[in-house]
Amino acid sequence: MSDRAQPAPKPRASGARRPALRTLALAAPVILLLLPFFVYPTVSFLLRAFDTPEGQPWYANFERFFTASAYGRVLAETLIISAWVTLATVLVAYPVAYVLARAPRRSKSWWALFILLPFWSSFLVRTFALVLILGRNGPLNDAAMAIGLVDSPMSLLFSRGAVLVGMTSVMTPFAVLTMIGVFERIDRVLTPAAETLGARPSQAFFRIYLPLSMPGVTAAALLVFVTSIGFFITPALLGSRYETMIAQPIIQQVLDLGNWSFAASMCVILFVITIAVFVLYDRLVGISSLVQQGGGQRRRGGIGARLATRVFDTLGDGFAALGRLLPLRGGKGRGGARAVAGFSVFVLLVLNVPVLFLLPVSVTESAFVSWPPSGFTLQWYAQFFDMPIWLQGTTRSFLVAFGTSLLCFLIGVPAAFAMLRLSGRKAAALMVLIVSPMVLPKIVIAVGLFYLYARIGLVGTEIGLVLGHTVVALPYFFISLVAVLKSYNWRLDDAAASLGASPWKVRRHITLPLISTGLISSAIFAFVVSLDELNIALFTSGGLASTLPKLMWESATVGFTPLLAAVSTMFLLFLTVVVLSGLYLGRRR
Amino acid sequence: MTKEQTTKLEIRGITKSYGKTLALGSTDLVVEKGEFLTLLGPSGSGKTTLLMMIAGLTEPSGGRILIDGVDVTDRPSSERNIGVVFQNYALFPHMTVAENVAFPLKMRRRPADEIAAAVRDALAIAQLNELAGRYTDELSGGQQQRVALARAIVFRPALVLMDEPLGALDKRLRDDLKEEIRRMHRQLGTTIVYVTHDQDEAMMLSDRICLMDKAQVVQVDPPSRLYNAPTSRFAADFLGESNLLHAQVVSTSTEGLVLRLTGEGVAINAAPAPGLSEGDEVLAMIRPERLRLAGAGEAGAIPAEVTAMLDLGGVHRLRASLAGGTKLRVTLLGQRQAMAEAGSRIALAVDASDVVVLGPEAVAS
Repeated sequence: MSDRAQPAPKPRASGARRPALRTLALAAPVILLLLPFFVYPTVSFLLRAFDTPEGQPWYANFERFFTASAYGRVLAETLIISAWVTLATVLVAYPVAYVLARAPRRSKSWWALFILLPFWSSFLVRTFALVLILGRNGPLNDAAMAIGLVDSPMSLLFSRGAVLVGMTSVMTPFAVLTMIGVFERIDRVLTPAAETLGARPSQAFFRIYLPLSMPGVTAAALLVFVTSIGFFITPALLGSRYETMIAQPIIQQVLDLGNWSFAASMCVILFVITIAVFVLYDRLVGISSLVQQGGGQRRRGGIGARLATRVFDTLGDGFAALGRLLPLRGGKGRGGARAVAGFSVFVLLVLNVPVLFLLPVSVTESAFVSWPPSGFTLQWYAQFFDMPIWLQGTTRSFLVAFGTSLLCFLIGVPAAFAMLRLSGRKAAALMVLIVSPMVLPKIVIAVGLFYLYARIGLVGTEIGLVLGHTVVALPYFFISLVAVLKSYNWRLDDAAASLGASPWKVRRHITLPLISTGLISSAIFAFVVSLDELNIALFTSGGLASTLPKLMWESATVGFTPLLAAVSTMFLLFLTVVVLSGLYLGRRR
Repeated sequence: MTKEQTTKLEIRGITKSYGKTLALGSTDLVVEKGEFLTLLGPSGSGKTTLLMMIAGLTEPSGGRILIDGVDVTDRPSSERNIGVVFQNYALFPHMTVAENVAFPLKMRRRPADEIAAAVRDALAIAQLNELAGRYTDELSGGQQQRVALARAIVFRPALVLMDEPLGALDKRLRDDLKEEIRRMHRQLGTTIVYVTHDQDEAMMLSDRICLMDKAQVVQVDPPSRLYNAPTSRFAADFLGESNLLHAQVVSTSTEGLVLRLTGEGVAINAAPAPGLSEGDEVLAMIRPERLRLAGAGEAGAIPAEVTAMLDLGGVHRLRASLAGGTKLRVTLLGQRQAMAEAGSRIALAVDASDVVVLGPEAVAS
């Protein structure tokens, strides 16, 4: 068939007599890193959950968890918040992804930029910005009182609503990026085609576009949910004690009480929920649609899919009938599209604007955070540069981030090449190994590493941080690089070889120059992930050996200060420059 | 019958511009009931724009569109009752072949048994019965094309529009499907507006061809007339091969014109053309296959030298050059005795009725 994409030619095992061995050699470094520093510590730590004192049953820790009503409430709250966040994120992200996927080429890059900036900018800093905005004397209350909406400041912070807003705003860019790949593969002609066949715009959307976009929606929902259940930054900073999520008692058990076994049992519960969600997803949707996104829309008729189809059809017909009753057609039906675009612009504003409020607060003369800021001073910036602990933390973070991207580069590049040579189960296994740190609760990985480091003396060392950050950053590096390599035209290598270039010269003169920008942008993203990583440092660094995010976190748990605003502003500015250069390079390929 | 009743589609002064770019200049067109009309032209000629405006998928900047005498310009696509076959078929990948074909009937809330029967009929016409339960991405390109056709005709639309429906297929399949589209057209008596840039397709399928260029309609005529009597340089050039020769009118009479080829001492006769007078600069268009070898002593023979010859079996293609340097393409059919090798001198002749004279405006373009 002429219009079906041909399978892209794969890089050949040039000159190798035993291609399988060569592929293994390429994948070896990544396996040798992830087995001891991801798989082993995670598993051995989780097993501690069953390590109970003499005379108690193996499930004693779990019994304690489920009999103490406090933990039950935490677990329930975790699931409730995660479910709401998932729902809200999908609803907010869908129109944005829809507009982004259908935007004309020129405006598309702007849409993409304002999704990618918040995606790569610091979770921590964005949460700080919300603390400021939603505060009793923050800009939101200030504005509401100025226009006479309320008489006295509203309590917006420290509530479930604040936590939901905070987590949703952090997860939305992530969800948009998950959806966009699926949305862009939906043939743009399909909805107009449905309309020529008699479908009203709402019917065309609900019967054609929505079902075809569902793989993206369910994948986003899955990833948002499993990421949400491991959150602690947002509930700790924006929630009250009622909004405690399960990661918080885990941290407490490990750091304050040193109760490894009980912490491990909570991690097992977190882990089991994550796996259960994946299994449920597989039953309803099919896990393969998550891994091989290029495979088109496999309907396969799961109960979920069939039920969804029914609901969508009915919804579309309902709206169409409504449209028939109400004389809404005068405007030729463009009103809906404009509303969706308007909503998307609003979402992008909400995602990008809050951090801008940190700048004025960082130059306030008052000693505490207030709005509007008074006067102008650079004293908080000066204070940062006067305090060795901040400077050392910053230096350490940069060193670790640099080491992380270097290590990602060294082990990730061969792994990406190995990935291209593999297919079927082996490819899936390698993918799962490398990507699972991204979808498993990071807190579990971090505590596991702490458990290992405590025994082998890596706590508080830069090496330990680099190894841990590499485990976390590698998925981003790997996915980004594999995407670059997949779009690379391997026929060029064949052409060079046919022109007399040796395998090494092909790599040197053809492959590397062509993928170099993609390589550098991937490395930059690994750098950014490491710079902003808090989970690993929370456990494995401390005191004078802290990283910058850890210092920011500790300072924020005490209280939000102008100094922190100044640090955040500088951190964000730096991240933005780095991310922009990464995106610029990435686009040039 | 009055004219009103035989007209299916009427386009009155339709235009489309995007900002300052004109996609389609003011266009009038009438399509009769049961007619197969092709919009033919190079890319960017506005043919797809016109089709999409008829389909209701592009909003015109001005003008009206009437179907069966009813103004549908402000109606959304879903209420125009038009079947559209899209370039890459636009089949719904989450539905089976049968579900795709049933879709327009479902949208019209037809009863289930009626839908089943209509789908069966449409699948039979498109010879797809065995594939009813398949998903569309499991089909070959030709099969997908048939599904798109079946889906566009199953609800008996007033009008069927096809946008380069064969563009994505290879040559063999294209020929088969051309036959099929012709058969379906005859069998169902549907009115079809068809867009293509392939002149063979247009010649073979159409009752009339609407030739377009640079956002304008150039000529609307049956295929043979378009070929034999183009009214512009573009029409003469775009459709088939042609010799376009600069000439001057020497004399006019009711029997015809006498032309002198510019730069040559040769005069040829042409059919009468109104509005031309002595001394006018014109273009004489002669199809290569209308040139023949002159008989011995034939009056008005044109001496020429063969510069190249291609023997294609039944056909000989020559390049010939006149004394003043004018180049000619000549196609000779089955004239084995005419062994006009490169370098040999021959005498060519052409009937006056085969010389199409294009007026001064064609010379300028």
